[in-house]
Amino acid sequence: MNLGGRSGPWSVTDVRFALSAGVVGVVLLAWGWWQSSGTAKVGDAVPGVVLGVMAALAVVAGGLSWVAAGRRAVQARRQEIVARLEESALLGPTRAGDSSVAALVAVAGSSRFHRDDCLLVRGKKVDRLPDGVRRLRRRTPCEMCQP
Amino acid sequence: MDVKTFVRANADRVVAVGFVIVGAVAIVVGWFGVSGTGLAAEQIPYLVSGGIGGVVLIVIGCTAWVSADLQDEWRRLDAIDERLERLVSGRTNDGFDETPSNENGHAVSGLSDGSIAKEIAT
Repeated sequence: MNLGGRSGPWSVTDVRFALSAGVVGVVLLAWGWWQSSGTAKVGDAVPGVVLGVMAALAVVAGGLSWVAAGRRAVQARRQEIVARLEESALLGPTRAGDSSVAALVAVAGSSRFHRDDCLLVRGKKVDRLPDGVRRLRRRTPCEMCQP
Repeated sequence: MDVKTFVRANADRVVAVGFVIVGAVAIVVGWFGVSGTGLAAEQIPYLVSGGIGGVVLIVIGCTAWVSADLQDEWRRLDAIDERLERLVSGRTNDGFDETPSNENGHAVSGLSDGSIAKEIAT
């Protein structure tokens, strides 16, 4: 799935659904207000409250679907970029068994990642980061070994 | 950065805050309307327009704010994608097949400045 061509995380369907839910919500709210304001009897005004609650539910549903669709698209795009990064070997070892390519490691509890031959991790217990980018998230590269 | 530039750069967030403020005002106005009358039948329209209407506006405002965050993230991913594209095509065009090395002569397995990893991490 190539999401790069879109100008934002939402598809036309997402926009249509959210807009429809919003319009339905506004119409129901206006209708509810109209229904409840035209009478002096509580019993006659209650359906207006019900319409108002339905309006709120419609708007909440539209908003939730909008946010969920946006989050899904951003997540998919992120995974797409990570996959391309891994594919292009810009991060992580390029060829299995190539000793000239340093492996990436991190000291437990540290927010930095290093080359395995970095002086700062020598003699320390380190975790290898074999999964390339996925494991590098939330970590910053060591300034000394510049992995 | 002056106010005009700030508003222009954050138009979606300004709209979001506007919705939330108007929603809060609607709730307060609704409360005043309800408290000003003892008749339940007269209170209900305020409940619908001020109370529920206010909540709806606040929900729209919050959605708009999250939407602005997602749009920002999308733009950043666009920038990363573009840079990645340039890097990959640069490698291909230069016939770059060797592992790049840093100034110490060490082979480096990734981008020397780690910038893409940093951008994805943040």
